[in-house]
Amino acid sequence: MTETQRTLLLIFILFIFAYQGFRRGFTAELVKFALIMLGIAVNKPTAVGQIIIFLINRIFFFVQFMLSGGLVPLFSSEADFSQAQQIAAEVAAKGLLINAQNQETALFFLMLVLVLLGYVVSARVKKRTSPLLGLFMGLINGLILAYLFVAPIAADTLLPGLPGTGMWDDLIAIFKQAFAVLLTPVQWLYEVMGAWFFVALIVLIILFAASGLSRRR
Amino acid sequence: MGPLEIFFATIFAFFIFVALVRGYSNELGVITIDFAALFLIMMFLEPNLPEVLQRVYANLDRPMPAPRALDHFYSGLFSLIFLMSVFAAYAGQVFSFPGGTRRGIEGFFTNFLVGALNGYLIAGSLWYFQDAYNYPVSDLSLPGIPVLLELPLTPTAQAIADFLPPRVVPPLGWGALMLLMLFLRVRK
Repeated sequence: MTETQRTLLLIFILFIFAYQGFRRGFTAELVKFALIMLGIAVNKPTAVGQIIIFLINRIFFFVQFMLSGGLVPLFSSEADFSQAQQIAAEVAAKGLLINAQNQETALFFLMLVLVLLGYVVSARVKKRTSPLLGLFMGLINGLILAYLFVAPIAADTLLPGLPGTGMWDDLIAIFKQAFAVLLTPVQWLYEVMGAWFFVALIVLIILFAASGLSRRR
Repeated sequence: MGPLEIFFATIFAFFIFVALVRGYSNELGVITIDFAALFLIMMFLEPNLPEVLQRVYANLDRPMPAPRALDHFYSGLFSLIFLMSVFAAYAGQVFSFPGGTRRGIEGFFTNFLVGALNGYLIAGSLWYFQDAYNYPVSDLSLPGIPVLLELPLTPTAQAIADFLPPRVVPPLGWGALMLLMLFLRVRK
């Protein structure tokens, strides 16, 4: 795949997300963004992942402990702590639900669930606020998802690599990439139009602002 | 003084804040005045003033001032005319655009965008009046006080100088933009 084909593919993907953002509005896209970010945080063991694993394992342990009758000796008329401890040891011997071997897959699955949840929840936001900002937010969401899913799947590198030094460094790199993607069509236009590009830009800003003045006096 | 681009970036940012406070309906009026002032300066004054001055000095039978003195004169005069126009746009009766404005985050975004355009026009034009006449401000210094501007410009400033408003819009373009603003102002 050539550089131009990759750029066109990326712009096509982003166009779909931007259009969806435009249709749904800013609030819906912000909700989607929040859940995607939560998904990314969950997928990073160093961020939220470890806490989630800890909670899931503890809940799983407690449910198994309860199902094995661990609460009976504790809440009977004569509390028998030694029997409860024995049941707890038996449950603990079965091992953790999420261990070091399956941790990565489990967190990735959780991230997928949260991303999907982002789509479901944002689709339920009825109020359509600011289509224009929705477009930009959709663009950013599209780029983040492209990094999450398209880039690893593609045989050729679709996007430049992320620093991988931490979640925030990666996010900053994604935003930089979003800005570069936004600037690509602008650069093309500038190459075609030359200085007239600035005149067109000034006229566009004025028309955009003037279109926001209602007839209400 | 620090790098020139920092100084003008501060002016640019200042006008964004002004737009966020005043709202874009008022700032569109200021932009109309900016266009009118730039049309007057770029279309009539800048190309014709040197010839007018030559005739005046010839009629008075006096030698023309030194080129550098003329640089100071032109740069100062055009900056003054432009600044007075901007000042009048803010201080006088506000030439605002009528109608209800956008609210919420979309209103903030529009205010920001219009403020950025106004900042670019004002800071960029003042910079151009320096750049076009070889930075007369760099000659100004007082004993014990560092000069206002040290040349040469940084590479960033040199790159930005190619995109100053009077460089990217032809003189007649300012008139067309002013007409567009007037049309938008009076439309029903």
